[in-house]
Amino acid sequence: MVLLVLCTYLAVVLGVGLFGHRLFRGTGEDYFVASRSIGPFVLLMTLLGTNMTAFTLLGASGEAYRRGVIVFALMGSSTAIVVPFLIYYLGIRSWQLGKRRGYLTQVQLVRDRYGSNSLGALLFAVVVGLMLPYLLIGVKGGGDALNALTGGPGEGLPAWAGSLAVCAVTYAYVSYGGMRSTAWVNALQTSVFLAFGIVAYVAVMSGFGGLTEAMESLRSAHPDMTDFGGDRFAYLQMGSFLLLPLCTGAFPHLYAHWLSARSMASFRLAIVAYPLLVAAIWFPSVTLGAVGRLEFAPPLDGPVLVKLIVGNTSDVLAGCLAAGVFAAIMSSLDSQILSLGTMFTQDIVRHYGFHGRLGEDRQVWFGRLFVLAFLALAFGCSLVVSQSIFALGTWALTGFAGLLPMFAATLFWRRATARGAFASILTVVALWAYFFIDSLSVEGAYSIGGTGLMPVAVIVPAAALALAAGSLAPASAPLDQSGPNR
Amino acid sequence: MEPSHPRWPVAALVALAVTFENFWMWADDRLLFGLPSNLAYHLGLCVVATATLWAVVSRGWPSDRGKD
Repeated sequence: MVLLVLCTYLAVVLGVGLFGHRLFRGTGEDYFVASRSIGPFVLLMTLLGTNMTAFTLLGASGEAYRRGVIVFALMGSSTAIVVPFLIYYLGIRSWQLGKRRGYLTQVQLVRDRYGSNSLGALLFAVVVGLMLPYLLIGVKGGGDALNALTGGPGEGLPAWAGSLAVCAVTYAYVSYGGMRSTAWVNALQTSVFLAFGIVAYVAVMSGFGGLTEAMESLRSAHPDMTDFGGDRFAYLQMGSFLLLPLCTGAFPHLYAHWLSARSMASFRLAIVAYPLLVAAIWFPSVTLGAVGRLEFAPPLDGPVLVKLIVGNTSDVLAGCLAAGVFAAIMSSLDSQILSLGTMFTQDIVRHYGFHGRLGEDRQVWFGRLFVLAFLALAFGCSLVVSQSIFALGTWALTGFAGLLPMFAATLFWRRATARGAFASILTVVALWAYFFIDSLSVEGAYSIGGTGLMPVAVIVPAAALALAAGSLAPASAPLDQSGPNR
Repeated sequence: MEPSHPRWPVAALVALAVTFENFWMWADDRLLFGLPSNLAYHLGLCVVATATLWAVVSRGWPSDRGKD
């Protein structure tokens, strides 16, 4: 029954995605940013859906199962506070410039702003590199969820089948319908997730006697899971996690959604409603994960959220929530792979001289092939990578957060220079690599020297300092002045 | 490029960020409205953030004529 409901849902998603193709206007701008025609409601749902990943559902509930309700503050309320301000400043400014100058990618913006081809190439390489672990959490999450929903390790469907299903369905509607299909499907999937999530939440929590009773029981059995600690470790960690949502301002897929807005006024609803909707998604995920500790003793062999749903609801409801989990995963994966295709088409194929020799449809096909190869790589990695979804997501988000000072300066700081941008990006790459290698020798969750301070709290200020120092230092010779080739 | 955004919303963001670190009650394990007090606090913070952002889009909406 679970599989039947899930397959029906995937068919509906595919149908909506393919329907979006019927309105396709045959131009690159329509494929990549839906001719900048997306209205307030779809923009809100698609921005929310894009930020709602396997990390939010499976990763956050799993972390809450280990650490308790503090996870809501670490990632939920920090996201609710920071991201709307990023949309307000960076989103609106990006939309203004994108519309005026015809930008489709961040690399075009950066190349044009600083007049540096090599800076654009470096940024392309770094963003694509960071997208791999971020995309991987969706692919891996799909596999883990399907396996747990159909019986768990040894009994359920193999994880690769879920990963393959997520990749295949998402690739089909994105490559066929482009941004319009992606935005429509995102709006559908976010609505589906919110609706099914509320029903499943009530069903599972009633099994514990309601939310208040579940929290009372959790406080009695595991008091450390209902408070936030109170030591220096917690202080440094809370501060670090407030910086992590800065990654949203540097995501290439969010940038593409910003550009797809019909008008500046389309952003109003997204900015105001974002915090409450984020809370509405993170709160059930975190509280369910935490009360999962009352039912399952560690170590756990599968996602706690899925195990709770399978164990406490009917087959049909479990199938509906499985659809919700897949909705969350695919609503991010589709935007990620669309933005990768856009970047490859615009920043490589068009920029490096193929523009005159290839028609627009052929250029789009190059983007599709690149995405197919990238998805195949992510699928292959999902079969061998054993890190938790939360850990994988945190590393990807840390890297993107480090790019934020450079993007913010590109949009708002007149004195920022190509040299400063280079210094900032290279600082992020060097520090990210250093901390990642350092983390390989650490068991469990990583923080710098075990203090609670996360790498993001060092990388973001260092990237900002490098940007300022590189931009303000007197220039000895001009950097690459070849200018954009667009 | 000349930004067309007002700057005062940055102060609102900083104020929210400061209140995010509710260290004075981290060790408090009481329940508030049926929720752990820290969780209730952060849910309330999301509501305050929504109200703040409503004020931002009402009073600080940027000009649509930002200069390059």
